[in-house]
Amino acid sequence: MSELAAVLPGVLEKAGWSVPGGLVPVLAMFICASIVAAAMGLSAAVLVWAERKLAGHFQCRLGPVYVGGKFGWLQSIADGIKLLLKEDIIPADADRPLFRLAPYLVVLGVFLAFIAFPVSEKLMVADLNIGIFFILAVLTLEVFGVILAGWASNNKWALLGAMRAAAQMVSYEIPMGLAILPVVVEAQSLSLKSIVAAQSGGMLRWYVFQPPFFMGVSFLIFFLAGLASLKRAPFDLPEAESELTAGFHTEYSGMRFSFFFMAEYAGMILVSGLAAALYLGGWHGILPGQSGAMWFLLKTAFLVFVMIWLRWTLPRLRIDQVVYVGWKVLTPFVLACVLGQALMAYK
Amino acid sequence: MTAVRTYFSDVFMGLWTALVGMSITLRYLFSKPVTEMYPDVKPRTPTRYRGIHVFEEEKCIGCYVCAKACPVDCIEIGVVRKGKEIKITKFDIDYQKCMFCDLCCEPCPAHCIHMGPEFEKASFTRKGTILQFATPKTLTEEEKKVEKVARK
Amino acid sequence: MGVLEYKFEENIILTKVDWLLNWARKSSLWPMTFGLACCAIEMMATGASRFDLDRFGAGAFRATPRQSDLMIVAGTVTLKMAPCVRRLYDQMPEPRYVIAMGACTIGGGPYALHGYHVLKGVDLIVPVDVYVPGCPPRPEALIDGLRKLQEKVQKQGLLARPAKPAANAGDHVLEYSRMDGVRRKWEETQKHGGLTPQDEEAAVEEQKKKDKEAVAKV
Repeated sequence: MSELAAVLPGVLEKAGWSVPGGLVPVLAMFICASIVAAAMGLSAAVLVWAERKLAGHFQCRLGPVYVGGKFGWLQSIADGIKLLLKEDIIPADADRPLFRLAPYLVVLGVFLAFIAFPVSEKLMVADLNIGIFFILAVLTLEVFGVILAGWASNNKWALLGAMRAAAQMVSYEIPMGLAILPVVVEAQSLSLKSIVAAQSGGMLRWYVFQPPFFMGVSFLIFFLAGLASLKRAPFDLPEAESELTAGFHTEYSGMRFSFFFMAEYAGMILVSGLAAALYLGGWHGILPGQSGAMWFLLKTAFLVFVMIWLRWTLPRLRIDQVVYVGWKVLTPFVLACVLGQALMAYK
Repeated sequence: MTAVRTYFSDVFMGLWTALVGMSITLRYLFSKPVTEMYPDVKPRTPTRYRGIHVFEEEKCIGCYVCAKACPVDCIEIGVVRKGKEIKITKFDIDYQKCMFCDLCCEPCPAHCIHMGPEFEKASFTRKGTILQFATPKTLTEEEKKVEKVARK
Repeated sequence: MGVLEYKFEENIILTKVDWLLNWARKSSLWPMTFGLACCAIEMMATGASRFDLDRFGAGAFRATPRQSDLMIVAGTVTLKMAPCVRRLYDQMPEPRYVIAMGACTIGGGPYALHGYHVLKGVDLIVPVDVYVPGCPPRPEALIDGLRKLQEKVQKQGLLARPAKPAANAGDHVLEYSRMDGVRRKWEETQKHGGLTPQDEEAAVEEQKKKDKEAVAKV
């Protein structure tokens, strides 16, 4: 953003528009925010299509074919327009202000987290010096939205879904937060830019491949905890179809539902991108010297593919199993990793 | 000690079984889809398939046997008899009721009604699901008097 | 969309917008995960690998009526289930469509004569868009029904008034009232000539009373 704010006055002058100097940073903010919002919506749409297509092929079928040419690539656009046109229902007994607020909170959490999203050295909105901490903090906003949605709907399934979401989030925020500590200890920084910069110089310098693999294990734990905090299968208990109808968004229709939908898919990109930046060398390529946004996007796409792959492979866990895995497996393991990495740094 | 061993083996098995499952789904990802492209490629129904009926009007002798055999009374037949001449004025099968049991085809002495291969008969109205198999005819006043319409 | 319907005269822009909106609607008819009897098995088969409803964009079976566009009434609607079907329909947001799948749902099927416990046609309680005969229909027949529904959705007038009523205008009336359903049923019974007019009136009255009771339970 700071680069954009530096370039912007020159561009505006060329275009012949006079903008007061004080407004330039604000304008830059608006431009960045709209770019992030557009990228979020667009990538969510592409991901929905990709997921339906991949789900089809995982099950030996084709997925969307007839909507928009051979590959059904207009499918998510059709879905989007349709969801916009649907009637917006707010149940009579719902808590109206909270019911309205919840989807925005969910989207806001993911949207804010994209601010520190490190696509490449230049392509990031802001290089915060507490970047990774900031992302984890605002991602937690999402659970407020989910709990509000469940509470405000005044529906037993929604409330049960929200309770499960709360239990799950509380269990998995801890291993997720702890899993980044080995990386932070190694990189001596919370800024995503310097964490990625520390991994330059080829594939073997990526943190996930650093012996004795404390960070490799914490990568696995981060990824699993990320899956759980996104409420993706096999941890999709808050919206378990067979038990809770649609969980916390049972009563949401049309556009409001599509906010939850979009937040889930944008969250997938976010967690995959974070994992790629923290453990897989971010924008650095496989060979030393290679770098660029393309590498980061490739890694992110691969991790998103793994998420989709997991979803269409594994059945849903039970809630006690999910909490068991969170507290009794992931947390001890990640604590051991943190301890090991800290001892190594102590020398 | 056994508890510790069980714990670690459980963790290992959890990861291992997930990997096994993922390898299977990955194999299916690259296998050929089994989907039939239905609206583009019409399916071949089996020879003994029980679809929408096929009615051979010229063979029908208007004996009502099929209507009598029908357990749900979905066949309605209208006949005009003049000596040996038989005119089928109505042969309606009501697919609101028909359960494709084939019992109407078995007793037919003239073998004029069969279960056919057709199945695409979706309609926009409820009335549209009653199919008229007899060709429409104009009857004289005299014929209208002797016409017999019955469903059982 | 009900607010905007038919509020404008037809012109080229509105027809194009209409086309786009209708295209979006017909390309993403998310059905509700809702099966009542044996037809539901065929419905599941239609969603599965060999027939794959997802090819038409209709594969995302939503568990909640709030997020679904299409109710495939698959199976015998018993009188006990009828209020639930109506309630689920009421919970769906507009635009909503209904496919009556199988003989039982269209008109009672094998239970049409002596089924004391079966609703004689789901169009007595919800407006049905497409009727798919069969007992049960094979998956291809359901897909055929879905394609017919897509045709119908594409012909809707959203913003612009439709240019002229289609030749088979009766087929494209979007809402059948419950009375219409009864009347159609009555017309059908009239054709058979088995009952005197008084008997028929009594039957219609009785049917009306039963329907009212069924709806009152909702």
